Amino acid sequence: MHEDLFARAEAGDEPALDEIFDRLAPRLLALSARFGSTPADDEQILGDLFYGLLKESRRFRRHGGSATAWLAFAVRTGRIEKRRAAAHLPRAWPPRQNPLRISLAWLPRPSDIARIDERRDLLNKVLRHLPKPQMQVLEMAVFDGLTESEIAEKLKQPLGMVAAELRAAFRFLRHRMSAILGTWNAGI
Amino acid sequence: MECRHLDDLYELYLLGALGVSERSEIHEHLRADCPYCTERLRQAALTVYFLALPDRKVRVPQPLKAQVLRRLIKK
Repeated sequence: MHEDLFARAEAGDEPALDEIFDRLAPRLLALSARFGSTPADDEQILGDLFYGLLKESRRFRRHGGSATAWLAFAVRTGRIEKRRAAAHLPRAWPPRQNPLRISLAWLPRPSDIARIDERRDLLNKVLRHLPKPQMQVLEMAVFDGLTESEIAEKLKQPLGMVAAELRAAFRFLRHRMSAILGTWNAGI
Repeated sequence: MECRHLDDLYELYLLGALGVSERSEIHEHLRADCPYCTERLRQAALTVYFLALPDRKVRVPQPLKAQVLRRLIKK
């Protein structure tokens, strides 16, 4: 998405805001629904997100970070914290340790996000190669927002085994994604 | 900073899936603008983004869009 659009929206340009909304809102609602929101929550969710986006856009543009990525992390974090609070679990991050608050230098660049969206079919095929136990713990971490020790407790498995499955799953994905996206950097 | 021992933890950190001590270690590196950790986190964020964000889109009803934009413009 063109960075200029955000600068215009920040300055109160309504057509720019309208365009940003049309491009991003449909996927954000799909993401939010994946984490348990209902249509009754949509107005609040979108309002808060776009308000946050405009407030933070100067910050992530300074680092060359992707607005779509910022929004995706903000939606997931918000929904996961809500779900954890409802389940009487401690916060996933103490407020001052939320990675989105500490720094935005780690946000992916818009070109990398665009490449993921272009190659999603191929990436989905990679995902299907994960062994079942790895996929199970991965989904519990990504979608249920559980920590390694909470997953171990829930599955009645040793923490070491769950941690090993999760780390193996991410090693596999990291390696395959780097190859598919062409982001492999042997120097780092 | 020596950070290679954190290589398997960046995705889990972004997901909020780590225990306190591992989370705090990455937190400190991020706060200190550690270039190695920042770059690794950027790669990890791509994986997390891919896993979390669905392909599908939800149609946003026009009245909902109008309400949200009105609220934003007021602020």
